[in-house]
Amino acid sequence: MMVGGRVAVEASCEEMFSRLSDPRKLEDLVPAVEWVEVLDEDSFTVSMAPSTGLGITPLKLRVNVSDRRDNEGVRLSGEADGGEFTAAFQLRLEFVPDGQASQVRWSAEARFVGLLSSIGQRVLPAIVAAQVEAVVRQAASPT
Amino acid sequence: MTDFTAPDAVVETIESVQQELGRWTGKSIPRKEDRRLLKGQGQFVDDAWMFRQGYVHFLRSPHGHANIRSIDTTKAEAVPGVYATMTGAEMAEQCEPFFRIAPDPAARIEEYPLALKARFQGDAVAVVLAETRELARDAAELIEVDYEPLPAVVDAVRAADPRSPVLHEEIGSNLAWHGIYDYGDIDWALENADHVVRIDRLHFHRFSSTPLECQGALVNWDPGTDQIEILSNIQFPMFATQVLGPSLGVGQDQLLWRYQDSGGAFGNKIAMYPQIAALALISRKAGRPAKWTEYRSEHMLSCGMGNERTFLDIEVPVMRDGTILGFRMRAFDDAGAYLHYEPLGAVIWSQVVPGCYRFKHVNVDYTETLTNKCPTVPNRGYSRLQHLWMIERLVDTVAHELEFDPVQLRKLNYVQPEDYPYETPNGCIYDSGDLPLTLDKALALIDYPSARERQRSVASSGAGKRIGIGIGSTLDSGTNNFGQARIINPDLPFSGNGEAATVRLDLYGEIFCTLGSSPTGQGHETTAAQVVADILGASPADVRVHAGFNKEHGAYVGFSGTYASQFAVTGINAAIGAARLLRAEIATVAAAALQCEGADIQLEAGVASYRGDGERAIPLIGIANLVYANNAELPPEVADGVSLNCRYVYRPPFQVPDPVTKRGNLTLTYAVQIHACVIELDEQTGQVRILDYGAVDDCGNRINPQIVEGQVHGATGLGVGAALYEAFNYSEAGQLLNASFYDYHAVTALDVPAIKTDHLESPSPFTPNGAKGMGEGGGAPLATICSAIQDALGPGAELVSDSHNPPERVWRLLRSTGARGVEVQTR
Repeated sequence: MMVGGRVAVEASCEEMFSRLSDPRKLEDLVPAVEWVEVLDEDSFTVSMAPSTGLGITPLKLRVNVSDRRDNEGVRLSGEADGGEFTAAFQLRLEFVPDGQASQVRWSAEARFVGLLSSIGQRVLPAIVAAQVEAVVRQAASPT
Repeated sequence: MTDFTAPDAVVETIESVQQELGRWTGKSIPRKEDRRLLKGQGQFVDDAWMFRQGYVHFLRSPHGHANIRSIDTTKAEAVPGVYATMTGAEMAEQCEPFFRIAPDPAARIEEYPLALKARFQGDAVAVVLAETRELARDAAELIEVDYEPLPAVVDAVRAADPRSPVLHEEIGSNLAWHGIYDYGDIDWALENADHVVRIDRLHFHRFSSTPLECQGALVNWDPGTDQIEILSNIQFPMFATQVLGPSLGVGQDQLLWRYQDSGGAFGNKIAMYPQIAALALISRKAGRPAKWTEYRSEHMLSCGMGNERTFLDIEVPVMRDGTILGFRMRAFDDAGAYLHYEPLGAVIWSQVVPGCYRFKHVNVDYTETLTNKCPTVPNRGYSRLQHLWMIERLVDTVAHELEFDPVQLRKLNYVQPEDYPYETPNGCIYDSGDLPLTLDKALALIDYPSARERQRSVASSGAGKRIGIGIGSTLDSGTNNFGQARIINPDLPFSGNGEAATVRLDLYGEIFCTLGSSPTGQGHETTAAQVVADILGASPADVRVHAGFNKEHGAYVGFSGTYASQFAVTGINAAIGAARLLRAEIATVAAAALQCEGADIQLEAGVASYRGDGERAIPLIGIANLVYANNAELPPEVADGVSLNCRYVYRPPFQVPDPVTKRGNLTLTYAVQIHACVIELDEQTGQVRILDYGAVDDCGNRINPQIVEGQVHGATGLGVGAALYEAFNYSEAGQLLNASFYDYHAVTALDVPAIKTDHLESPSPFTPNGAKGMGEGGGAPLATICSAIQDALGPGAELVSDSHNPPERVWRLLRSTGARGVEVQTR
C-alpha cells in the first residue's frame, strides 16, 4: 500500500528535522502511546493502542531512523505486531522551506498482514494518512 | 445394470402413505416457527447461558503459512478476569488427532483443535477463556506468538506441483485425493464424433453463503458427571459426534447436544467440530462452561468457504445433429488448508455426472489439493454446483461454437420424460422429471421470443448496451448414500442413510414430535406437523414439534443433521413412520376400550372412534389416561404392548456402491431447477443488470409449497450473488483480501431481481411421500448468468470461463482480442 501527502506547518525545516529524526523526541509525538523504550540514537520501541476506524488496535511498534539528511528529510522504517496482524512500513519525510514555515511532503509504503489487512482494504490508506499527519502536526507544535 | 425396481413392499408402503397424506400435506399453511421468530422470541446460540460461564476468544494466525516457534501466554494469563488459556501443543497432549475421511496419504494428516503450524490466515493457534467476551479478545492480543513465515500456495493446480510449499509435512505433498472416473468409452467417442470442442480452462470461484447468525457454541465439560453438554448451532451434530468422541476419548453417551434456533447455515456450520473440541478442553481445564460466539470477521476468515474448482483440457465430442456424447477433462479442487469434510466433495459431484443430459462417455481425472486458504465446507449445492456449472458451460459453448440453438440443443440432449427412471453412466438413478417441459416453462416466464426481439432491437440501437439471454439447467440431488464415501476410501465403515423421529401421545392427549434434523430455517416444525397431522387425523396446530435438535430425545441416527437436501425424504418419512406406529398403538388401546378390532378404529379431530358409529368413541386424552395412569383397566397384553412413545427410523433403499468401478446409486432423489434470464450489459462499464429472471423447480410432491417457494428464492439469490458479487480473493502470500462486507458484497434484496417462479410436480417413485429433497438449488443462477453474458458478448467472443463475473471481468471480455479459450475440430 502506497500513501502520500503534504502538510503545511508553521515550524521551520530545522525544527521539524530535529523533532522527527530523534527517537527521544519522536516518542512524544506518537499518538496513543502506552510506553516507549529508546534503544539507541536511531531506534525505539513503542507500545500503543491507537483508536482508528477499525476500533482500538493495540500494537507493538519497532521504529528505526534509517536515513537522515540534515534539515531536508528523514526516513523511518519499522515493523509492528498486533495479536492478529503484523505490519511493516517505510516512511519518507521531506521538509521544504516556505518562508519561516515549511511544507512536509511525505510518502509511506506499508504492508499489512492478517485480519487488519483483510478487513481494512478500503480504510487503511486513510487511517495511515491520518496517523502520519497527526505525527507531523504534533511535531510542528509540540505540547 | 443397477436394479432400480422398487420392491413390492416399498411400493405398497408408498401407495398407502400417499393415500394417507393430503388434508394438510401439500398446503401452504403458515410456518409454525414464524410466530416466535418474528416476535424476537427465538432461542439462538448467543442467547444460551450457563452458570459460571466464561467467554472464549480464538487467537488466529495473521500469516497464510508459518511455523510457530513459540507461544507465550504469560501476559494474557496475568490479566485479572482471565480464567485460562490453551495452545495447540497443550491441546494436542490431551486429545487424539481428528478422524480423517481421506485415504492415505492424506489420512496421515494430524489435525488437533488448535494449530501447531499456521496453514491459513485465520488458523486458530491459541484460545483464551475470560470473564467477558471483550476481555478474552483483549487478553488474546497479549499472547506472543513467534512465527516463522513460509511461502504459501493458493492455487489448487500449483499445489499439486511437487515443487510447491507443502502444508502438511507428515504426508509429503499437498495431495488430498486423486482418482479417475471413467464411464463409457470416451476415446471411442472422441474418435468417432463429427466435432470435438476443446476448452482450455474453466474456473469455478471461491465464495460462501452468509448466514445472518455466525457460528457459536456453549460447552460445559461437567467434572462431576464427565458429560459434555454442547449447545451449538452446528448443522450436523452426529457427524461431529463421530469425530469428537474418538478425539476427546469420550463415549457417545457423554456428548449431549442440543440447540433450538439457527440463523441460517447453508453447509457452513457443518464442520464446527474443531472449535467445539477446543471449547470442551478449555472448559475442562477451567472447570467452567466456555462460550464462543464467532465474530463476523472470524466467520469470513475461517468459518469455511465453498469449493473452488479448476477444469482443464476439456474435450467434448459432438455429432452432426447436435448429440453430445460426453466429455473428458481434468479437475482440480481446492480443499483449503484442512480436510474438515473433504475429500467427500471428490465423489459428491459424481451424483450428477452427466448433469441433466444423456451423456454416455465421461472421463474425469480428479485431483483435490490442500492450499493455504480457509478450509472448504459443503456450501449450498456442495460439489455438484461446480460440476453442473461446468456442464452448462460445455453445452452453451457447443451451441455457440457449432451454431446450434441453445434451447433446441438442450432439449435434444436432455434426459427425456420417457427415460425415467434413468440410469446415468455411473449407476445413479434419476427418479423422475420432465426437463423439456420445465425449460419451456422457464422460457415462458421471461417471454423468450420477446426477449430475442428486444436483443435485436437493442443491438441495432447503438445505445452501448447489449442484451443477453441465458439458460441454466441443474439438479439438486438429495438424500446421500454414504456408501459413496467408500469410492473415496474403501476402508470407511459407511453406507446408506437414515433419519429418526419420535411421535408420542402425551398424558393429556397432546401429540409431540421430535426430529433428528437440525433445522436452519427450512420450516421443519411446520412440514413435520403437516404429515403427522394427516396420519393421526389431527390439525397441525395440535402437533407440537420440538424446535431444534436434542440428542436426549433419542431421535437420531449416525447421519442425523440437516444437509444434502434430504429432510423432505428422510426426516419427513421418519416422522410419517413414527406417526403410523403411534396410530397403530392408539388403535390397539381404543379397540380394547371400545370392544372392537383395531382395524375398525378411525382417528379424527382428536377422537378415536368405531368406524361408522361416531357415538362409540374415546378421545385421545382417554387413550393417554389408560396407558399412562390407568393401565389396570387395560388387558395386560395391550398394556404391555404399547408405550404411546413411538420411534421410527426411515432407511432409504440403498446398496453399497462399487469402489472399484465407482458405480452405484449415490443419492435417492433428483429435484430439477431450470432458470432463464435476460440481462443488459453495459459496453462502457461491463456492468450486468438482470432485466428478467424465471425459475422453475420440480421437487416432486411439495409438502408445503410456500416453503418450497422460499427455498427457491433463497437459492436463486445466493446464486445471483455468487455470479456477480461474491468472491473470496487471496494474495499469493495467502492473505484474504476481502474479509469485510465492504469488499465481499454479500447479496442483498437490492441486488436480486423480482424472481418469477413456476413449478412442476413429478413425484419421486422412490420415496414414500413422493417428495424430493430441495433447497440447495444446484447453483442454477451461476450457469444462467454466465450463459446470458456469453450470449450478450456474441459470436466469436472469448469464452466466459469463470463463474464469477464482476464488471471488470466482463469489461475485459468485451475488449478481448486474444485467445478465446476454445477451439473446434470438425471431421
